[in-house]
Amino acid sequence: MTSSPEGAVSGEANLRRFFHDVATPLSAVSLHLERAARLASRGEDPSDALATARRELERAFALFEQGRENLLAGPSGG
Amino acid sequence: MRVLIVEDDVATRKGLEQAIRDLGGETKSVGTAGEANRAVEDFNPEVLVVDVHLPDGDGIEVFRTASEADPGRDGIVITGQGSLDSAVEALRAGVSDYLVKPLRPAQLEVVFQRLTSRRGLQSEVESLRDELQETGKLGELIGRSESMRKIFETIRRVAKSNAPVLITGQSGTGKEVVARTIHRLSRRSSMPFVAFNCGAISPTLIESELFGHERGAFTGADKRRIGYFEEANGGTLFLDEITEMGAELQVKLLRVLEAKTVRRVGGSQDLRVDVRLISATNRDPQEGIRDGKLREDLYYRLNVFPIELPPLSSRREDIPLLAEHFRRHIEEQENSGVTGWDPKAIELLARHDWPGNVRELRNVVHRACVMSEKGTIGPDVVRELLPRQETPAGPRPPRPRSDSKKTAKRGARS
Repeated sequence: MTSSPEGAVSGEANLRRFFHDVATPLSAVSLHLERAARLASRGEDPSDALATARRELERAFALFEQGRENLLAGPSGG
Repeated sequence: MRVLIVEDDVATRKGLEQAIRDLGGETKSVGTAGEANRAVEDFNPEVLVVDVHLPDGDGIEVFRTASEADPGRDGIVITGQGSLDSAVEALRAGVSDYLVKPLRPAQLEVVFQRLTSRRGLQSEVESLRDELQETGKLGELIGRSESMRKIFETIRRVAKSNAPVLITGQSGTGKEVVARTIHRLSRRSSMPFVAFNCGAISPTLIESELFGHERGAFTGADKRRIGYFEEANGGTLFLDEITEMGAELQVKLLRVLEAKTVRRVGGSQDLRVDVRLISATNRDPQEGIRDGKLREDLYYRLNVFPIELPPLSSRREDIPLLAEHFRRHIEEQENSGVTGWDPKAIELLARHDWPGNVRELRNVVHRACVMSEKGTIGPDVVRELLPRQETPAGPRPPRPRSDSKKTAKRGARS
């Protein structure tokens, strides 16, 4: 995968950054979906929670695409 | 339960806030370490849910600061990069749970239910403690006098902290009982309590007893031995008669307290230890410093929380309560059929001077139970057991060192 220790370190750091970036909106998605389910079960309107979940899912997709590009182009992506 | 959420991502923060409210929490949420530090002051949270990476600082540090201000606070750390280093750091800072993103609502619910249940138990324990204090007991300590009430309050406060405590008081006043009570009321209560009497061991052996030794470190060291510091790791080490420790060893003890590491005699590695130190002396520490028995720098390091135990003669109102407590305890063990006290017997006990303090009173009660017929303990038995005193009862000046315990005790998990 890597040709030098520096490359390995930087590759690992990039990978960690990628996981962090994607995991944050995914947390929001799961929390807001859960919230929507609770609201719906109480007969309340879940549309705001669903809209937030959808927006955050789109953000996660965008970050995923961007991270994949960066990682594949970077030193560890080879 | 008041919960402060510290998370820079707005959508996650809002999601957390709503989820925790649905779980019954009262929430406040902020996005930076600076805002969090201010919110800790204003909102006084019981629990902090903190993201490790914040735009202006470290979430674990935010929790550490909040926890130093009130050690009763719980922390849940969340991170997007589940690295081992940050998990270890979070646990060292005393957080209750560590969650890795993406967060799962079910996981959050489990963590909160566990926390709610633990805090519920804690508050039950607190109320029991209050109740015990009302009835004149705190752990094994007995007393309704003003001086003992103040000591109970100090003990309850210091038990929440990790700061070193120095207990002073004449022999027999209950210094070790106080140390055990602090340990039992502390967060370390499930870890070992180790008691060591520095006056009971030859000065040349104290170092290897305290710090342990490697095999072959000296003649007779045929195997590696773990010292009291390592044995007490995670718990409390009680060092009695601290002024009996040699000056050279006091320097080493000071180094251990500062570096939080110990090195076994003959060893080459510094071993990290997490030990709460409680020390005690029956000398006046200032006098110990003047006489060169106690290093001044060590004294200041040990004396973060001083507790001075009064002699029994200065809290005579506690004598009936103590006498009855010991009688019941002895009765439970020996089933001698002694059911109580004749008021005149109690009066005699209350007028006695008790140079040996609570320990002497306990011994007299024990002998009185053994010597009495079934029924109540009468004044004749007590009169026979009490040595004649030339001076009338009253406050006594501090006594010089008298009987010192001659056995070192290794502690057991308590």
